[in-house]
Amino acid sequence: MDPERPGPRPGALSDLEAKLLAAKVGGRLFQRPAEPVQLGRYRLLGRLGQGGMSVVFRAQDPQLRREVAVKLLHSPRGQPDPEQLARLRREAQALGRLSHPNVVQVFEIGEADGQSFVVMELVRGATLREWLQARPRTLAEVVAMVSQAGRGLAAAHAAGIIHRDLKPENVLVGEDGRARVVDFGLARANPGAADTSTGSLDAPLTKSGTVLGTPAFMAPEQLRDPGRADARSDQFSFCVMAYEALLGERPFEDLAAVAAGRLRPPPPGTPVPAQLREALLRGLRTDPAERWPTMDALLAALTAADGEATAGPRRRRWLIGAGALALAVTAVLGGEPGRPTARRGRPRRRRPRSSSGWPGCWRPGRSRRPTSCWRT
Amino acid sequence: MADASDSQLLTAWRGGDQAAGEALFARHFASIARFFRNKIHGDIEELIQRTFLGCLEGQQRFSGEGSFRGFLFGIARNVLYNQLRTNHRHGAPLDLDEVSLCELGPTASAVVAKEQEEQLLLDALFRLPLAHQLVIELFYWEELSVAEIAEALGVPVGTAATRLRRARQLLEEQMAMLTSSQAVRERIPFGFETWARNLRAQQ
Repeated sequence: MDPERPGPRPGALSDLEAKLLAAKVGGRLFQRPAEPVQLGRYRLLGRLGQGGMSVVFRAQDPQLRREVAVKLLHSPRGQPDPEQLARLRREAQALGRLSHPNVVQVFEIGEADGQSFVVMELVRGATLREWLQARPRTLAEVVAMVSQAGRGLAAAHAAGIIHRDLKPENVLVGEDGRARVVDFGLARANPGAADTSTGSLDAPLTKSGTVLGTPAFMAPEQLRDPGRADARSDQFSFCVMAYEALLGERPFEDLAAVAAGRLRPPPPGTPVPAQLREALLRGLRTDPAERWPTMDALLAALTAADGEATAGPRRRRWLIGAGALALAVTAVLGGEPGRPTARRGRPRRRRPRSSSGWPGCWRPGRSRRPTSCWRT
Repeated sequence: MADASDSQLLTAWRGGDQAAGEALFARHFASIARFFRNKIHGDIEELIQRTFLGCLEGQQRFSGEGSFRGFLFGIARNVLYNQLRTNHRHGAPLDLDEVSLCELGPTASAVVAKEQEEQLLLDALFRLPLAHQLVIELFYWEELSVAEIAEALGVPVGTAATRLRRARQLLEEQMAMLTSSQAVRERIPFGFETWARNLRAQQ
């Protein structure tokens, strides 16, 4: 019986992960020390996350005595495509030259056992989505956090790097409260149309196994031709992300609405000032030429709009997101006075989406996974 | 050790022979790891460990006559169900056979398939009631026989066969609902079975 029969089985394991698991579980079952699993000089400690393209491990760098994140192309069925490898290397090199507090730091591109991998800063914390759901956030807090991510994106653009798949799962908020953008451009596509036939906003968009992006966050021109993604399509993705973080729902109903530029009306009773929403709407224009010229211009507009809003005495107390509702309920049940006034209007249910890549697979309120979650 | 049967190894392991246990573990580790990996988002070490330890405990259940893999997947299924119930603790009581992983929330890992047809298959699979998903997986990917599946699920062979037929039907329905792509549909002309086998054979 060959346990490693190749095949498109659901949940195919990468070789290294299988090795790591076998060593750990075998060690515990038979009470012997687990054999270390090495990748070059790095000793693998555990798996942080996995996507269709790659898998990320937590690892120990014995030379520098620090823990790092190691990302390698995930190829359950043979060697990764040389083109994908070349892409990984190019992007990693560009990122390695970039050092910005809001971009995850790339340390090196390694090679061992015929596998190329990228060694990165290990961020302990949560994804932006988890951060938003963890507890109620004020408007100012959310604006500040997404702006941090925006500054990281702007720095990448200045270095000629396009992200192509910006979404709340690709922004990590460290325990230090600093946002870092991860997963840059590793999914660069060949020019050519991708299949959008499922019409789902949440299914990852793929072409020959290459993840081209997440439709819900993709600009219309990128949806039509993923090869055309540029800084302005990143800006669009950023605005979808910021819009969802602030208003609790996505700006477009479905892919047809994205193509037609048909926006949802603002949710009734939203605490988000019109000026702030309008700054984001400009970044969501169908024609890239009508968007903000740069991320910096957009960020300046957000700061200005937020400053205006928080100048008013009441505004700062608005709470954003699902947590606010929970807090209001707790306060009412617990008889704690005062807080419910922080939220006016009808409580609005957030519409969180699956972060797992399975379309529509989310029931609100079940996502209490605490920490470090890497998306690849 | 290499040509000892699974049940010989198990008997030896139960008698205290660690090497036999190691050999058994090496043979079946990958299947069991895969079984959990696509259903549980977080750490699966503990679940794999519990499954293999379960072999030692389930003394009376495995007589050595049935299939060891059916027996082992039966334990894995119990471990999985317990874990899903634990994860779900806050909610209402749960009929795990009836609920799909998709409905349970983002527990599945983000498995992204290489080809679009595979992606469709995976998406559809995770929308099936869990009992049906398991049957499909065990039959097509782990290549268990219907009798072995019956053993794993603890049901009569006839029931397992019925469930497999029903699961296939549900899967086809799900796939039809999920795709509007004519191109993908045209590649599924001979029904799911042929198509699934072809997909596997391509590798």
